[in-house]
Amino acid sequence: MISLKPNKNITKSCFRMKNNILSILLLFYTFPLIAQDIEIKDLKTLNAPGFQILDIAPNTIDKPSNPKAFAASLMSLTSSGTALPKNFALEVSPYWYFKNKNATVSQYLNIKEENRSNSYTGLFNKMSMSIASVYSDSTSGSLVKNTNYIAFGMRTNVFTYRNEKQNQKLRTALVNFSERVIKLRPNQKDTDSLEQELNATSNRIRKLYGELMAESNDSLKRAINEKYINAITRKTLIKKKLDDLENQAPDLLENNIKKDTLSQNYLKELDDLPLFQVDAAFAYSEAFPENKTENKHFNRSGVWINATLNAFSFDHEELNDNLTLMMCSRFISDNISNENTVNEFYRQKAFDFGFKIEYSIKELSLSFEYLKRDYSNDSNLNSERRVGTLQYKISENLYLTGSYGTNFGSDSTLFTLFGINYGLGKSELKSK
Amino acid sequence: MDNEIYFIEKKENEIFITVTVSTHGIATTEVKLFQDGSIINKGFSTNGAGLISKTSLGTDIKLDGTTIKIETDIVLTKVPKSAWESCFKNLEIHYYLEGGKANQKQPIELLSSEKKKSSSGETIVVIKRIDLLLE
Repeated sequence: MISLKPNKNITKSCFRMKNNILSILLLFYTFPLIAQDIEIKDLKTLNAPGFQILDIAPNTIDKPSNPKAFAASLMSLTSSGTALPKNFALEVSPYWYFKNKNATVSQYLNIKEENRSNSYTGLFNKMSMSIASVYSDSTSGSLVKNTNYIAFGMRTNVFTYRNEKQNQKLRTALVNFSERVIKLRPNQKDTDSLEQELNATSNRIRKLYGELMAESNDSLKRAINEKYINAITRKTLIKKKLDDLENQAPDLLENNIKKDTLSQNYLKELDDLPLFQVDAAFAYSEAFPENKTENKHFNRSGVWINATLNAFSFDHEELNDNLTLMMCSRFISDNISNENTVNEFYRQKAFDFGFKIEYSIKELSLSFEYLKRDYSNDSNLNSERRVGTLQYKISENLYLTGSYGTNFGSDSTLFTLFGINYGLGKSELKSK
Repeated sequence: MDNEIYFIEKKENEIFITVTVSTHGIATTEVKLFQDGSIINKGFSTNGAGLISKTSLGTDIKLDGTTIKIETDIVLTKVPKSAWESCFKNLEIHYYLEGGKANQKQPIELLSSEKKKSSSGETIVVIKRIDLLLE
C-alpha cells in the first residue's frame, strides 16, 4: 500500500493561486478518497485526457472502458523542494459516489432492456475526471525543457450500441447467472428450516400474548407466562443461529460462484464488447517553466471525439480475440513559442484527425495509431504521429507495455515507452 | 433485527409485492413465504436487476401470521473494484406491498443492518423479512 497524502507546500501554493487549474488540483487533493491509502491495484499508466493533451500518453486514441471509481498513476510525487508536484495522474469517476435510483446492470453494460435501449445512459454515468502532471527535463515534441505541465481532463461515453444478437446473448447470460446464484446459495436447507421454526415461534408468541392478556386467573396466567417466556427465548436462539448463517453467507456465496465453472462462463460472456461506441473528452493544460507558479502560462486545450468499432474476431469463444477500429478527431487551441524566444507565445488552432487499429488475442494486444495535426494558420507546424504498441497482460491489473514510433513535432521525435504499466518509476520516455 | 410488519385486513383483498433494486451489480432477488410450517416459493428475478414485478402473495384472510423473506444477492464482479464500497453504501432496495391496511409506509426500505458484504466486498447479501398480520 502506498500512502498518498496532501503536501502542505502544495496546498498553500494552490490557495494563493487564482487560476483555474490550480483550484482543480486542490480539489483533487482534497477529494475524500485521496486521503485514503491508495492500493497498488489502483495504480496504472493512464491514458487520461490530461496525458493525451500533452502528447505523452502511450495511446492518444484510447480503447473505451467503463471508468474506475478511482485510479492513480504515480511516476514520482517528489517535488524536489518546489511548489508543484511532478509526474503523476489521478483519475476519479464522481458518479460512483452518488446514489442512482435507477441503476441496473443492463444500464451499466449498455444491454437493451424491454423498455429501454440503454445506448445512451447519460453523460454523467461514465464520466471521469483526471489531473496529470508531467515534468519535462529536455525539449521533446511539444514539451519544453525544465517545464512542469499540469493538465485537467474529462471524458465520458456518449453512445454505446449493441446489436440484437449481442443483446440477446448478454440477456441470456444474466438469466443463466441468476439461476446459478439461486442454486449456489449456501446453507439453504438449514436456513429454510430455521425460518419455518422462526415463523411458527413468532405466531406462538403472538397467540400466547393474546391468551395472557385475556386470562384473569393468576395461576393459569403464570403458566401461560412461562410458556410465553420460553417461546421468546427460543425465538432469540433461532434468530442468533440465523444471524450466524447470514453473516457467513456473502463469503460462502462468493466462494461458490468463483468455483462454479458455469457461473464463471456466464460472467465472461458479459465481457463481450459492444459493436460501436462514441466517447468524448476535454482537456486543458498549463505550463510552469522551472516548476514555478509565477512562470505559469496557458499551454494547450482540446476537445475530441473517438468512435470505436469492434469489428471482427476469428474465434471469439476459443481465442477471445477482437479487432478494433477507432477514429479520432480533435480540436486544439495551442500556445506556440516564438522562434528564438523563451517567454513569447502565440495562439494557434489545430485539428487532429486519425485512426487506431488494434488486434487483441487472449492476453496480448497489438495496435498502431496514426494522427495528423494541421494548424489553421501555419502549415510549417503541421506534423504526424505514428505509434505502434504491444501490450501483454501479465495478471489482473498488471500489463507490460511497449510503444515505438514518431510523435508530433517538426523534428519527428522518436518515441519509445516501455515498462510495466503501474508506472512506478519503471516507465521511461526517451527521445532522439 | 425485528421483522417489518405489514398490516392486513379481512377484506378478501389480494396482497401483492413488488421489489426494486438499484445497483450496477448483478442482482438476484428471491421471495419466499413461510406459513404454518410450509415454504411457498413466490419466484425469483432473472434479468440481473433483481426486480420482482408485482406478484400476488395470496388473499389477506389466508395470510395472517405469514412471514415474507426477500433475499437479494448482488455480485459486483463487473463493477470496478474501487467502486465496490460505494455500491454497498449506496445500495437501495424498495419493497412495495399492496392490498393491506391503508396509509402504511410505502415503500418499505432497506435497513443498513439487513445488508452484509463479503470480506472482499465483491458480494452483497440482503435479507428483508416482513410479517403479515391482521390488526
